[in-house]
Amino acid sequence: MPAETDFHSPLHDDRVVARIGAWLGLSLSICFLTGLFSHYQQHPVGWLPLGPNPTWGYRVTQGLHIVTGTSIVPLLLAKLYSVYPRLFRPPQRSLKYLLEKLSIAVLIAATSFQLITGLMNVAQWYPWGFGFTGAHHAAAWLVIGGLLVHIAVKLPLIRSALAAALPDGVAPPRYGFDPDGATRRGFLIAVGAVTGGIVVLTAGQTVAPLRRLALLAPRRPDVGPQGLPINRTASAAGVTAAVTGASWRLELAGPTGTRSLSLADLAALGQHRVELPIACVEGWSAQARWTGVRIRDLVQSVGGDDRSAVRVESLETSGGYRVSTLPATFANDSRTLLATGLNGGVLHLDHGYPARLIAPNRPGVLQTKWIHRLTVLTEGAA
Amino acid sequence: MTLETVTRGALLGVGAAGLARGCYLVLFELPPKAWIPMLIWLAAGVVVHDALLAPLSLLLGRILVRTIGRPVAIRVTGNALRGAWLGFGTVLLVGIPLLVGAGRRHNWTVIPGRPVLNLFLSLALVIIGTALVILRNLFTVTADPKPVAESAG
Repeated sequence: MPAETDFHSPLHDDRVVARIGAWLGLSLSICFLTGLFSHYQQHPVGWLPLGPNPTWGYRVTQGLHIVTGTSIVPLLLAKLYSVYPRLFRPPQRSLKYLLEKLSIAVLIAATSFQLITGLMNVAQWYPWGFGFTGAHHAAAWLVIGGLLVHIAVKLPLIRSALAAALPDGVAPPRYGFDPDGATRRGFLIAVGAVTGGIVVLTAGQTVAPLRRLALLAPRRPDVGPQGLPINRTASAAGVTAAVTGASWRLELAGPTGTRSLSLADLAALGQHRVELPIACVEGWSAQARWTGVRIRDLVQSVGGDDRSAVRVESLETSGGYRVSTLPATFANDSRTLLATGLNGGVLHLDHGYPARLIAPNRPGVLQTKWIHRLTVLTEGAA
Repeated sequence: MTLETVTRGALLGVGAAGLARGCYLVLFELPPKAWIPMLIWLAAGVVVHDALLAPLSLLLGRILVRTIGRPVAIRVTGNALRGAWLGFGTVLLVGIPLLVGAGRRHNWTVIPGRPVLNLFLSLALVIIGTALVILRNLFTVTADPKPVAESAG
């Protein structure tokens, strides 16, 4: 087993560790906050009212979530490399030492867990025995908690290391000597270049100008039926042509009664066109033109008002997102549609034919497809 | 009480609350059958890094230093090669799930490109970038660096 003194690279110095740590802390914080935003969009809480504005809110935050998440890969590798010799310091007999080491262990374990399982999730590869979203959410709190405790413990050291210049001057450093700081500076530039590079190679799944460079992005925003990707096909959802054919009806229930509407009935209602992005928590997003009936017109036709939420039910035979609730702020927005058309054509079966939901600033998984029932909820029921 | 003490206390308190929240979610929001596999995956990342990737990186670095030999050559190539190693690791960590995912994809819009080709192109970009940096260093790096500043740390 080596000792800390066996390591002689100037890259193990606190000045390098603190600088990479600062970038890593920033990326982790953005990733955590944008992930939390998505969580609260999917599981609304009273103290954080999230509405349909800005239209691009979910798109930008989830693009940022994956971009910062991916940028953490090289930053974490570089940080763990630079601090590696500290692993071989002799242990101390104190509670403070034990708590500090425990928080670091939790931080590293949870961050590695988030990165590895997160990257596998965007590739839709699930070789584990737990639900991804619940575990990802729990581990995110472990990451941010461990990070804050780590910063609290190391704050004096972080401050002095960030304030210190990279060259050693004539002072003897703990690790290798770097008289002009070129080795440390060069390493930090290399880490920055790799981090920027991996962002460029992946961000094209949501940043249109980078699309041609997106060699490592799991999605192309323009590839799919009607020029739009899909997460769940009709066949995966158990939705067949038999249940979406001529016999399909939209059941619309509200305080004043229930209506049954065919596609022709919907077409006879006021049609509206909106340009809205479809954005996924996995980081891809694409702008599209949608046509259909305003949800708020449907709500009002069965006695609802601007305080009414709507329960949306799909023809899907299984899955956690078969039923969703559209809060009143979204249902009452003029851009929220029961869409029957996409990019100038009739909605493709894999995009939710005969009718799907499209609303601004809303997670893709909650833009329910293959809708067959809308229930207008009174204020108390919502 | 200094500002730093207050800041550290606040960070510690909020951090501990975050850790408690994470533990609560694992214990009470996830089914017990998820605990063991999650624990295995939590530990695996640390073990793979600490017992495999970091020692391998250090060993490679030592071999390179001995192979390249002269200090000036190390100054010309050192950080470029470190960057290349980091770039390779990053591209493989991001790219391998895509390769496996492409083999098991649920529909044709998931990983629609050519993941094998894209992975090699990405690795080629790392190699090209490394070569360009080494080329530039050949003309700019000096053999005998002089101390330029006193360090505060």
